[in-house]
Amino acid sequence: MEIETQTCANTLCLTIVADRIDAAGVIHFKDRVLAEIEAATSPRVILDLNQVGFVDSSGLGGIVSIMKHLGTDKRLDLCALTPTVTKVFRLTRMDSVFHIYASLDIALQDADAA
Amino acid sequence: MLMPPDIGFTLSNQSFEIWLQKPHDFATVRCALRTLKTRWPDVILPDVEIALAEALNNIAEHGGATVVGRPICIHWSHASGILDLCIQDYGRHIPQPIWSTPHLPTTECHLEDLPEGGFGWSMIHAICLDVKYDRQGSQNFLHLQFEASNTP
Repeated sequence: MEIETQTCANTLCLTIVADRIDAAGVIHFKDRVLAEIEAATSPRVILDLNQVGFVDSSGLGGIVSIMKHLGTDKRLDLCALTPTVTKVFRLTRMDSVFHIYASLDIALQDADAA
Repeated sequence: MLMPPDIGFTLSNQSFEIWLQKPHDFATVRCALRTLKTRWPDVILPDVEIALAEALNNIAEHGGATVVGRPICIHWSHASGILDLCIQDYGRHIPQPIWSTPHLPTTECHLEDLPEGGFGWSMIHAICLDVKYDRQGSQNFLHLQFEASNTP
């Protein structure tokens, strides 16, 4: 799994370069994302999932775990969920927990979140 | 003991066998799902992939040592817009409350209490038209029924 990193203003944008976040790779995924977040000082983090076609419940748990790890010090948002991933968030009601944007550009334009 | 194939799974026309190499062998589950989706894209529709992944991960996670070295068999059939899928394995018995009446963990809670798991059976029930489980001897039989035209 690769992660493309960019920083825009006060926001750390992490694009997950993988076709799936699942039980087989969730520990690696969490470790990689947390390492990127801890190496940065940005108070807001956006996970761009546009390349992730599938997330199982373990992968979802990994994303939730990252959010909990950040606590109230940093904010984790999501963007560009693919249709199947969107459905997993809807089925588990996690779409009510995260701020989910249609694209990275739209997420970055949300001034309230910056 | 039956001998597993080197690649971890075997194919036939309307069935598929997965051979876990060890308990918690999620890597083989991932490979199997990728192969199924590539070989039968008209069967492994998005909803089917979500439910099947949860069912197979459950077997890998909770099935115990008896799932290793024996096949997990997936059979399917199509009729009148309905896909029937049966997953057969040699893992531990699944108690009825777990498979028949799952509770979706609440998300209306403090950040630190958000659930990180326990979604699998709820997702399966939300997606499938019908879910049935049967134990025969040392084997589990999970029957899942889908609308064949489902899209996310």
